[in-house]
Amino acid sequence: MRRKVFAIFSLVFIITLAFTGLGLNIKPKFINFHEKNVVTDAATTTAENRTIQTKLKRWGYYNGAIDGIYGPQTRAAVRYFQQKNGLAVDGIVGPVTAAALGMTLSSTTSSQSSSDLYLLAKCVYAEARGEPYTGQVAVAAVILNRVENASFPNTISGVIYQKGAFTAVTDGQINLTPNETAYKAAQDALNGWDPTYGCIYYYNPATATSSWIWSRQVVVTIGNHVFCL
Amino acid sequence: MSDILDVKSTSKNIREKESKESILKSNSQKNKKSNEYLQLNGVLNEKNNERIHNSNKNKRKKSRVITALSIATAVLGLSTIGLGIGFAITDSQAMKYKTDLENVYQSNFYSLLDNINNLETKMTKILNSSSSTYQRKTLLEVSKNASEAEIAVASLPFSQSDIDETVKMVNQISGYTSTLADTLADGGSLSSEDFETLEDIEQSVVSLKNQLNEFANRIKDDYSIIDSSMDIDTNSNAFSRLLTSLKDNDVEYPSMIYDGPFSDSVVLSQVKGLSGNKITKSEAKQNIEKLFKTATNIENNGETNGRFETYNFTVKNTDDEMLYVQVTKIGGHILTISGAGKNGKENIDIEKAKTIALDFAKQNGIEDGAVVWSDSIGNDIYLNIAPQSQSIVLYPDLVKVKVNLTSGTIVGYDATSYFTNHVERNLSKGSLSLSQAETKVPSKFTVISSRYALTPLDYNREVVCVEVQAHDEGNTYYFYYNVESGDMENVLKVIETDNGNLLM
Repeated sequence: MRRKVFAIFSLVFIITLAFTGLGLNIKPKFINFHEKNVVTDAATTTAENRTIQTKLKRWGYYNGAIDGIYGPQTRAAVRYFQQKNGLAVDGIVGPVTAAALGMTLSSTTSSQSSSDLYLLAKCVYAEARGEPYTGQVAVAAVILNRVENASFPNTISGVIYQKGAFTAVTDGQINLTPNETAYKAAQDALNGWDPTYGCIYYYNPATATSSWIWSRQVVVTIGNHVFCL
Repeated sequence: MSDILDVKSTSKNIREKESKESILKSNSQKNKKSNEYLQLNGVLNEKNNERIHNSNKNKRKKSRVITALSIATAVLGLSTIGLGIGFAITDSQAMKYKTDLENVYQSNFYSLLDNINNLETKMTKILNSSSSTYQRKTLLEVSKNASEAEIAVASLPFSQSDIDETVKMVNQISGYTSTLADTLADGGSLSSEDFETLEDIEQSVVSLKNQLNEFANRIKDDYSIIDSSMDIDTNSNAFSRLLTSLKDNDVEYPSMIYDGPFSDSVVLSQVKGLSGNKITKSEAKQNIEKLFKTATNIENNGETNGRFETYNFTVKNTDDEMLYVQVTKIGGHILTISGAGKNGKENIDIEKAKTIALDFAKQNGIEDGAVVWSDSIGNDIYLNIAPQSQSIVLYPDLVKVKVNLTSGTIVGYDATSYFTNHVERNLSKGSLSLSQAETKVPSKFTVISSRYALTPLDYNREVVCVEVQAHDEGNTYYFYYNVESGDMENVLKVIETDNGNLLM
């Protein structure tokens, strides 16, 4: 009996190890930080989600909370609605489903055509998502100030992807999907807002390791970041 | 007698009996002992049996241990093979990635080398040419080489602090040469100072070029840029040492004084529009209270000590609106407000938002403002307001206001440009009338409107122009004509994006 258990155990162990060995070569292929967010999947705004939820609740397809979050419950309700109304069942409120719901979607959220805004929002989200709103605007402004500065590359992508310039790029967090706040902050910076007045560096005094950065002229502290020239 | 006999016999009997008994007793004792012996034997036997049994057990145990050990060995062996295979595959893949990346870096390096080589050759040609047409053409090529060199050097895996001087040098060469080309295009000529600066640039480029070429020879011998970049902090990295040599003044390059892209003068532009007395923190707070009468909480949040000096505050305006407000120490003006507006049903329309924005600008000293641009994104609308003077729109003094269409409140304000540029100006509308300017627009466009505008051109240059808005096949354009010369200074195209409009 024991021997059997032992034999089975060792067999499982061998197989596991063998697969771990093989698995190693699959893993490094994708160090993937994509957190596919259901809200962006659905491509509807919080306000629109609320309308969808209200309508579906009124018609008896949905019995969750009207919270504007396109979660699994809302998705299931949309699928149910689509099924009942002879629409393509995908759980996503596109133009056709929206029309069937008696609403029109705002065009502003359908896609991002400005790659600069997208890149900037990505970097802001990865670098400063825990920071106050102004701190996020400031990070975006620093990136744009670098584009203008002679000592840095002359494009947003050049600045963001410069070797070692941003830790969030080095460790892959740059590939997280930015949230709405990050987009707003990036848009503010593109429209000229700069609460740092020309800063080209920032650091977190609690975690900064480079002694060189401490020698820069500090302009302002916003949230956890010190912005300097 | 018989009695005696009897007694005797009896006693004998008794003795016999006793002896018998004793024999019996001893017998029984013997028996007992033998029993005990047997018992003992039995125990011994049992023990023996047990011993035999035990030794059998031990043998079995041993064989089990051997089996277990051999299985464990097999497991370890197999897993080692498995891991080995796994690592081998991983390693070969890692090598492949490394090679791919190394190739990208090498390609960038050779692109840098080519561009610097070409740039240097063209510089000598410019210095030895007297034809302004040829100079202009070649200056533009140099500018292009320099900007491509910048892209290449910035793509190499070296830290910004190592390469910043190199990047700055090529960027400024690019900006300087294109500015000189513009001067030539406008009918100007290169001054003797320009030639001196160009000569100095050429000298420093030669020095950089030689180092790069020497380096290229080293790369031929199995040199890896990636490996080199790994020991970036140990100062043993030959490549980054090459690039930092610019920093240590091994290669000197001239300061280029020009009004063009990447010139130091643009980065260090002075604040011209701030006036008034220095105020205290509490006075600054009072200024915010005057503007945000509904604010429930205003807290000081540090200071800014840069180009502008400000007191910073966080302002809780409505329940879920937090604003960050910066008030200038000189004059106590609101310089910037930033905040994220909330989402929800839009309660005000764009016209109402414009009124709110203009009113807010007026409270902050922009008396005769005009909304020159608006752009709505989500629930927020950005409104650019330009002050006017003698019915000329002053674009350099733009203030930007962000209004939330749900709450109808100000969620953003930026007067940086206003306080940087706003001065008393003596402006003239020149000789170009609005209708004259409209006729200058190419005939395929439909003119919509025109007005006078002070326009920021290039760098640090302001020109009064007639701004003509025109349509063509659904596209909107803005044309700018200089009121003195009548020349076209600029064209802007409105690009409609998913998020609103962009002006390019």
